Amino acid sequence: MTGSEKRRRIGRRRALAALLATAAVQLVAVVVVTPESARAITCAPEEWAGDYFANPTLTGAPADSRCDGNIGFDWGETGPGIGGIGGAGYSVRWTRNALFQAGEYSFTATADDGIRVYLDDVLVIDEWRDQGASTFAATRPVAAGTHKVTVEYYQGVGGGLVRASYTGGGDPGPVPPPPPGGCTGDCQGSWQVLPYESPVRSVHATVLHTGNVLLVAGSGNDGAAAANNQFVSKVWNPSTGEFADVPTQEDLFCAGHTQLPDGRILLAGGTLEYPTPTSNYKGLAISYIFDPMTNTYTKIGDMPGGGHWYPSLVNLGDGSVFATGGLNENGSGNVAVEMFDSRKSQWKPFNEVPQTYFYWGLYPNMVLMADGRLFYAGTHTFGNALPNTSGSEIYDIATGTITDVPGLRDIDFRDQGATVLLPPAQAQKVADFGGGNTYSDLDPTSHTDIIDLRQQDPQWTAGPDLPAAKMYVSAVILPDGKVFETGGAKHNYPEYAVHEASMYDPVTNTFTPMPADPLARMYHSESFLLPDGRVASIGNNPATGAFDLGISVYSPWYMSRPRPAITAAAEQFDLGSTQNLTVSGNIGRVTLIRPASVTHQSDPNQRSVDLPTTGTGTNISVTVPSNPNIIPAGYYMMFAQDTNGVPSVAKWVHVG
Amino acid sequence: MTRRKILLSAVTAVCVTVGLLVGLRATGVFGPSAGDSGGTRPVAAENTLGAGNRDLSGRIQPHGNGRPSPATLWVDGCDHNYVKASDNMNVCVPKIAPGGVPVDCEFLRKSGFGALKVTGTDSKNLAGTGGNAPRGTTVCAD
Repeated sequence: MTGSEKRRRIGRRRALAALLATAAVQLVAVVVVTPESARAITCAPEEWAGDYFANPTLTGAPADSRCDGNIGFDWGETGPGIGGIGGAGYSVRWTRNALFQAGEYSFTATADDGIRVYLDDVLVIDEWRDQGASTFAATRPVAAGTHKVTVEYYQGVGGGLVRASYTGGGDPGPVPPPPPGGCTGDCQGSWQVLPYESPVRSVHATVLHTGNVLLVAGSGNDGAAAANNQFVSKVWNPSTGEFADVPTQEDLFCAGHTQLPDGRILLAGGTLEYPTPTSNYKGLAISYIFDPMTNTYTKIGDMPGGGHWYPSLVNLGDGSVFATGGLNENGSGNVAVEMFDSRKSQWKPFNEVPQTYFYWGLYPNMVLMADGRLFYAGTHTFGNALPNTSGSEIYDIATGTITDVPGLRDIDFRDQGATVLLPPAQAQKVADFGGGNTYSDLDPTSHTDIIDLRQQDPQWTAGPDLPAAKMYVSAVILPDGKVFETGGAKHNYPEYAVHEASMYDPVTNTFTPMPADPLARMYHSESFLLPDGRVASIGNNPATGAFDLGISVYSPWYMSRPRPAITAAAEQFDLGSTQNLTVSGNIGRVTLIRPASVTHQSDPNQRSVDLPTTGTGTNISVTVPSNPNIIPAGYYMMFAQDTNGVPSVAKWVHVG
Repeated sequence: MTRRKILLSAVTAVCVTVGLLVGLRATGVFGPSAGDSGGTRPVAAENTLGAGNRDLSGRIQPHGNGRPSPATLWVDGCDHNYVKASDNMNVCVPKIAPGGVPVDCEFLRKSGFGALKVTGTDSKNLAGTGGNAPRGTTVCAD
């Protein structure tokens, strides 16, 4: 039995009663009803309804039925763990009715042995034969609307393996219009260094749906603290300046983290051991869930693939969390792909996750694409000397295929450059800003490269140069549709700090210089959007081992303008729903921005989603995208922007 | 034994030996270092998407073999033979300094480092003793 499926078996007693009560009907049904109609379960829209047969020909009534989150099983010779089904001579039929955007879709299936894929009962892939693990793909145009996808699989003898998915179309919907208005004078904004310091070496920062910020140090790059089991986390209230202590049992320094669909925070990995004269940093396999309502951690099971020091965690459209990268418990590159089942709050067993054993580096910046694949943007932390970290690829999680993406410049100078999915997410454009090479004595790059993932065969193109060459770059999406880049250095010494900031406009593809953070922001620094529209910057850990605890806050131009407001809205936004908002001001744009969960300037899940808006005045309606890959489930900050381009303070809504 | 038979026997012996070595490596006997032997965690079927795999573009990156990826010692670019002398805190004495300048006490002081303690090998010769300073030696003191 796998660990990731929502099981809804018919109970033995209930089945027996049903059998006795309807024996005659059942006898007839065996003859006249197709196997598909024998299914007795109801699955969520994103799930596959699977009928499992104790024969290799999909014949008769299924031995059992269950809902599967995805089709990705390496059952080997043990079989699917269904009563009455062994490791050989069985078959499965999965069906799913799903809402498709119009476009070209690529259906991919891997099987050992036979596989068939149907779209609306029309064969798309037909490879129904004994064979070793083989991958097949086909492309079909799909009209907008609900369609039925069916996957049939059989296992003869030997090891059983099946994976199936569809990607490649993934229409993210129309590109929203440009943001309204914009600053026409007095556009520089200003910085403020807060009169208090952080009580924590904030290597990790996560904005919570309470409006507070979880700051995590763990041992905070202090080997002595680690040796004494002194691990620190605090919850910062930016409104009051108060910090609440969070008991921290293990060293979450250098973990990966992200918001789960229910608003709690998943933290995975950490530091097992600091480097010695003969060894590397070593990674922990631990994981914790942080509850913003109680400010407490709960330890959950370890990642099954081993230790991860510097993993990236990426939210997927089905609610699960993908994790990969970093160094393992021996200080070597961890090649495992981990998958967190958010519904069960546990990691999937290793052999239920497609593994390619490709090494993705340390804190690899991977962005969820509209079609569900992952885009590796070629930026990372350290690791230019490690295999596979240089360059850019697309990774299809379901099938384990990796496709090279050409055109990124300075591929060996993208260490601690910034990657950002430019607003709006529907445009599917990703930018890389700067980056360096920790193993080189050379200065970093000022190059910015941009890619349009809506293209059939995407490739990077050169963007405008940053105003200054630097690494340790932070890029923060603002509610007015711009991207604020700040902080950085040429090298990790105070005299090499680059005090420069600028505003990137995705519409005009230009940088406009802005005031620089008065404090140096180099290694172990983060910048993130606060719910009121300001940007907080925190952390700085130069090579000397010093750690600057100062906090600086940037107020963009709109902070000094009259602000519109969202005075009423539902707390829950379902995908594809239309929502009514009560607003003040003449609203021209409404956006949902995912709260930051950032470390080492890396936040793979940062995104801003435009909500198409209708109506004027105080009552307007917005439409939530139906594609969960555009807007993965979780809490979002909703901003309403008036026709002058001024955004409101955020209202928190839950999506999905 | 004829010369041809001797030659045939030698070739056979070489082939068997090479085959054995390849087989032992494949089974992990002569694999990577013991710490990363791959035997400590479950490993799914390796390279299931190997030869014959097809995708839309045909550009498939090579897959790993299930073993951890080799990582450079001190992946953070620091020389971890040294700690801060005052409190043993880890610092990042660079493997290589910006602009190719030598990593010496002058550079380190200028960059804000205080006195350091040698915990491994004085690889940067900061003690000025040819790299032979014993562990515990304080270097680059004011």
